[in-house]
Amino acid sequence: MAECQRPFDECPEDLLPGYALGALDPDELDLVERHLALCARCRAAASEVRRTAELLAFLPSPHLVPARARRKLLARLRPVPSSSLTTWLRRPAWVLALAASILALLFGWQLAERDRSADQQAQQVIQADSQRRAVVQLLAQRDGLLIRLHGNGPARQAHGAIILDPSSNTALIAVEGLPRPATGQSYVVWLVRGQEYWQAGILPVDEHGHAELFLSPRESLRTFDALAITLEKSAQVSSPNGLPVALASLN
Amino acid sequence: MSETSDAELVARVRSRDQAALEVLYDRYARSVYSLALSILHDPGAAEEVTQELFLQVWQYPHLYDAARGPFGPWLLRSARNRAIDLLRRRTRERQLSWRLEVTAHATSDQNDPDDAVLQNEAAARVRQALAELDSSLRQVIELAYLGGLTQREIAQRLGMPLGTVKTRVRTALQRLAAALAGDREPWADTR
Repeated sequence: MAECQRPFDECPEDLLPGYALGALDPDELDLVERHLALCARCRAAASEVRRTAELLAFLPSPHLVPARARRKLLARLRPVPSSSLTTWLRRPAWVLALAASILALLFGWQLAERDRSADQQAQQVIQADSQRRAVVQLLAQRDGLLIRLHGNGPARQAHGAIILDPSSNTALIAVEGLPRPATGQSYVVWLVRGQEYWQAGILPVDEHGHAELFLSPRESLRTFDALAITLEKSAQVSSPNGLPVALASLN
Repeated sequence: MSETSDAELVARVRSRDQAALEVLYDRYARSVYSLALSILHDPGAAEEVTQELFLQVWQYPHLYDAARGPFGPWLLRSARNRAIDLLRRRTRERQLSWRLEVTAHATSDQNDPDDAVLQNEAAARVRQALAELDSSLRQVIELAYLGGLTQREIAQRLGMPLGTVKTRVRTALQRLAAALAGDREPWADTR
């Protein structure tokens, strides 16, 4: 560890090859990423060595992919459900009522909560349209369970919901008001069981602060205690090290 | 569509064009599978990593940001991360049993090959350059890249100073860069 106790303005050039390979220990990784944020010369050097490191993907001898892998993949590609009015009207009335009430809970409170101008609200409605469609599609398929999500720390203005569908073991995370992460940083979603954290995906944020992530974990969602979102310095993390942004109990 | 750039194909995937995903699969599945197999030593798990990765591309195509670089390196980086994560979760005993399975699968796969795979000459040149590295350099690269070990873990495993490992990693990458200077990148023609 002593090797990392260097002045911060000293370029950690000897660590850049290991950084490009993903072979640094956490303390070294932290040092390099903090330095890269400030040093254009090292960013360029890191980019160059990373271009070489990426070639290592061809290190293994080529193997034929079993044709069954392609067939299985294609069998798993389900078309995105249609959100047309015709499709909607085929749903049982109770499903529509359920969806409508949950949607009202999800989006209505957000609009009512803020004192915005008419133009801003109209703009928000347009921006939330795709988000709403995704929610509607999930709810229209099956019964869902709504869990509120409130941001804290660097994302204290964020709010949204998790919609769980235990029958299909899927969940949709919809958040708005999230500040866009700095270059290189990512919002990472974690499923929490006891003291263990399983990375569930990266939460992409658009320029309006909207974020959606559809989860379909291999393990049953019922077995997890909570869902957490952290702001990480890299998307390639296997355990949470960054600032906690939101936490919701799944019990 | 086989001449279409990766960027265009990803754009089509975003608009739910399954044929575009199939072209991307045919272009990259072999590299993804080979990389995962080298890390996991388990054909079944490598196949699963390959399927899951392309399924992710289909379900969440927006995760790839073209502004941050070409698609190929991003996909293979994702493949490696998935495989390394899986490797770290598995026990040593299971790894040993998987190694035994490799032989059996390698034989049976010959009867079930996927012919539509990317096999470009540039990738072969990269492999040649890697093969020509000194074994001591290649060893640290393999432990880091395919074994998922940090430089400090490699030093402990090989019983050598951390500085030596860092030097070997740096030298290996420098030699690889020099050997391929002026050469086209494997994915340059598919951007």
